[in-house]
Amino acid sequence: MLLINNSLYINTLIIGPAFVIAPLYLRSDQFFITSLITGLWFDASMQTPFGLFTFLIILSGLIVLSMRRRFRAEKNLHPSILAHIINFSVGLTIFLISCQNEIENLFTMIPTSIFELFISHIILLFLAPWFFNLQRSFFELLNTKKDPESLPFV
Amino acid sequence: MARIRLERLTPLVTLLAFLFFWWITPSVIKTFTKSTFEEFQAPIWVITHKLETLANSASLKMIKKETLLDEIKSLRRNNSYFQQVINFNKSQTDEIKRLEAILQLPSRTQYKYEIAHVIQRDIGSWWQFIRINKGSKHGILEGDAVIFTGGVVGRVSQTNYYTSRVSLLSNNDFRISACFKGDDRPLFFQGKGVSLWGEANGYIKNAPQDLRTDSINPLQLVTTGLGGTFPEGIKIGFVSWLEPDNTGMFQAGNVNLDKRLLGIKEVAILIPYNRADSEINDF
Repeated sequence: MLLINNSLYINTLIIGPAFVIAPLYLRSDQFFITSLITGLWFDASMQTPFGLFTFLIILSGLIVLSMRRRFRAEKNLHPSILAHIINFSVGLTIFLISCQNEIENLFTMIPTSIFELFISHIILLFLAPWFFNLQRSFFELLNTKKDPESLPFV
Repeated sequence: MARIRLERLTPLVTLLAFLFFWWITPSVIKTFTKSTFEEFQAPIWVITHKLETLANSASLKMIKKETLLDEIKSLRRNNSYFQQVINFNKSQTDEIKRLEAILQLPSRTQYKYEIAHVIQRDIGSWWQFIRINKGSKHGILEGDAVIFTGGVVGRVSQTNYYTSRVSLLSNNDFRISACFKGDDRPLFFQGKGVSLWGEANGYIKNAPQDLRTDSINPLQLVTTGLGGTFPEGIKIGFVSWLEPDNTGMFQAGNVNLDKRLLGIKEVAILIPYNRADSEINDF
């Protein structure tokens, strides 16, 4: 989530790319450790119940991991689509959790949540490809990894 | 019969194993992990705030000399005015103390004002929180009142060593006892989130039926002092519309909160003097 210290502020949820890169590129054990640390990091800064993001990142990661042979991780299209799907799912989960005790405010929350998610996905449209390219350039820079762990079938 | 490939079940087993270990992990370890990660993150927010301050001061250097001189003149005028206000307040405080001594009244809860800067905002439709650059090191505890020039900001919902998280007045789980200015009868205030246009809102319940308000002369909502967290008479917002609630015995209505609330830069935390003294003794 983008947390900006400014009064011109929209609560944008841009979390999808961080959920996608590990299951697409890393081995399952590496993915698990990375996702655990990333999830706990998100959980510490969020108002949601502690452990929710860790659970979501592992759940979504495992789904992607089990189907990753179908995705072309070396291009931006598939990771970007996955990032959008995961981002939307996470947004929906947070919305359902935050509004479960606030039925009276539901009609205020629905339009603002839709607007915020819409803005988030517009930003994500530009941010996700850049983020994936950045990650790949880091892999090349550190000379650790150039291709996904298991290449997809062509 | 088709054979089940066991490696296909690995993700499911991993997820179930994670859930099982998470379930059996004691809450002490979870709390410790959360605090550890938060303390790791705190310097990032503080550095971001410092960089922002640095950028602001760099932009201030671009201001013309004439503009600065005008600003100084205006500040001098303000200074002399506030000096008079301080003297007036001092004489009033002395008078109150003298009368209290004559009447032998019990001492009231008094507060120490701890000024803090907002270093992070987490404001949206789901929740409204801010993070400030003062924490338990400065004597702040969970539940302390937070105010600014426009009235109530919220309540400290969590403290770390250097930083604290403040639940804003508009947050859905923020509730407080309130009353209208000039009317002692307490009513119930709760946050109502932020509208699509970025306006912080709240609503009230249990307002007496004889009260009337309109948008030209809206009623001002203030704190009652009940509960002991907030002192009496601090502004919450304005109510320009009241309607019968679902019980039919009272009135309910929306509260327009201060527009500056979501863009706030500096706040004051009210720390009760007695508690501050005891903490100083502990150290």
